[in-house]
Amino acid sequence: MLSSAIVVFREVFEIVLIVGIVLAATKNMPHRRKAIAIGFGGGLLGACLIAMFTDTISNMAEGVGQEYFNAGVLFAAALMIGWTLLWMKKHGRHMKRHFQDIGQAVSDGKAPFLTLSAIIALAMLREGSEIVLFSYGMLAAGQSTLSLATGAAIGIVGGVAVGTLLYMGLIKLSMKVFFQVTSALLIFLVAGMMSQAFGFLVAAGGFERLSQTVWDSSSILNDSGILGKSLNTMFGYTARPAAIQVIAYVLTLGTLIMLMKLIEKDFKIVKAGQTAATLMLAALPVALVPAQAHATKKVYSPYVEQGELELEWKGSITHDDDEEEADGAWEQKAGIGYGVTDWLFLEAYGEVEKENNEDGKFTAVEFEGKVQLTDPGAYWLDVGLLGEYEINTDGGADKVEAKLLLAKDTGPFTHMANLGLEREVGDESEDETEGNVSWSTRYRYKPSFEPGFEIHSDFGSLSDGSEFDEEEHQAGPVIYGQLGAFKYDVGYLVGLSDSTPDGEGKANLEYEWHF
Amino acid sequence: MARLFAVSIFSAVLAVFSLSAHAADEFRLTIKDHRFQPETLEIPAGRKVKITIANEDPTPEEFESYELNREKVIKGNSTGVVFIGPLDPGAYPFFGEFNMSTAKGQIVAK
Repeated sequence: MLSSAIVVFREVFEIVLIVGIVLAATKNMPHRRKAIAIGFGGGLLGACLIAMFTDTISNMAEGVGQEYFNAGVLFAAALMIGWTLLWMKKHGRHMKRHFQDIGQAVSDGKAPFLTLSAIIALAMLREGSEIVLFSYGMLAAGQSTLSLATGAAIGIVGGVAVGTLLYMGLIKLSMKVFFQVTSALLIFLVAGMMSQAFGFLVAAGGFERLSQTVWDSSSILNDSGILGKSLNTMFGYTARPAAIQVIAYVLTLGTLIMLMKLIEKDFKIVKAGQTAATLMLAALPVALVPAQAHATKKVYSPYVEQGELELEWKGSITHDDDEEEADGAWEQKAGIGYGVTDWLFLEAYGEVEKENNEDGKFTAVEFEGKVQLTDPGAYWLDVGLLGEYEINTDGGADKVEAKLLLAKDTGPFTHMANLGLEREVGDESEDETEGNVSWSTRYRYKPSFEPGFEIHSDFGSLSDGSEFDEEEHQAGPVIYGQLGAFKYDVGYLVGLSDSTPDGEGKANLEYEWHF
Repeated sequence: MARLFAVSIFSAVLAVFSLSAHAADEFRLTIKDHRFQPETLEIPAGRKVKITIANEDPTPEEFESYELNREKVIKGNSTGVVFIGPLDPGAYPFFGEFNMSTAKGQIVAK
């Protein structure tokens, strides 16, 4: 009930808002009410057609493939609501001006009369179809028609009332706060819908490898009780979620927050997204870590394990007696990855950095794909490739990197080398390619304890020669190992050249599930 | 520097694909009812060996060995290939990560 009230409220409010703006912009125009009425009626008719159409397909799908249909409707609703969220975020500020301009143009006779109708009809159609899809999804997910209808009624009355009062100037409302609050609620709702959509696919026998139950909290909070049910529709709470549902939820939530944040960055509006992202990362162990624009230190293996789901955290902290901003600077990355096949592993990261005397800030989102090219031990050397795209969320240029990953076992020793090429792309990018090499050797003493060392060298631009001290060179001891489902490595790297921090402590922690 | 870098990467890749495996000795392991058959597999020491693992169970299994530094997931009713060696003489235990109580075995290099 609550969720349908919120969705309907916001959709209706958006319609009223648009109608209100158009009305205000066309005050002295004859027949404007007629134009708006035509648009309103047309949009409503369109939304009803979509509803009937959905109903027909739903009836046809009865029995066979009902799960797929339910999943499809939920996907569609989640996509549309998510897209509207982002669209409003991006255009909300300019929307008023835009509609006023059109209204003025029509008033002045520069644009056809029906333009007004079209604007209203499109708004009705979009918001209306969202409500329709959402309602079907919720019915499919087991919500009763009564509670859905009650929620929708409350939403319509509330949306019209608030919108009208606002138009008549009877109440003042901070648009910014209004959109922030409802957007935050909708983000969770969309993530919950994605999780439910995957729940249907699992019920239909899909995602066999990712269908195992991650936890069972039904004894604490059953999702068929009143509280559980509300949490279920609002936040997608499930007492016995399948792994794929958890993944879908986290990825949807993360992606939406990142995208909102990116849009926000472009418009330099408020800090909602950043706060959300920072909150997410604050849930991570308080840490350590490194600095400057260079990344956390990790030597990648060329191996991919199919069905491995990995939650990863990397952090580093640096100290330097001469360079103040590198003294006490840290960097943290959190990521989630999955071995899609026995040769492809995909991973996404978020990154927070802090320089000395500055606040920590959310600086980047990264996407990585790793390809295992050879079977371990099949050739003299094991080979893999890593491609990475880093979206700078802090105002700098984006980055692409390609890495060649090499590994070789000699008795109880494992050696790995990464050769990387890196280039900035997009706005403010520098036209140069940088090269880096890292090396790791470890002694496989026992699973929980493998001592070794690492060397990390960043040669900077490959097009102009550089002095050793302008390049970044670090080396030091690292201990690797696995404790239960956790893989770790911790190390201390000494700066060998002037442009490297005197010392850097680093740690990587991975939690792995196998399916 | 750029040229040196490019050349070194290129030659590393070439090295790998030219140094392709000599015809490795081939062996076979079967997984049935969450057990390996045979549970002790003898292979020659000092040679590279290709082991084809046939999983005849409907559920996936992971061939894993810390001593051999290998992990390989094999889906239900399918086969996977693991390359090992050259090994020093000795016993190298392995197990099935998804059914660790029953799926155990060792490779003996002689």
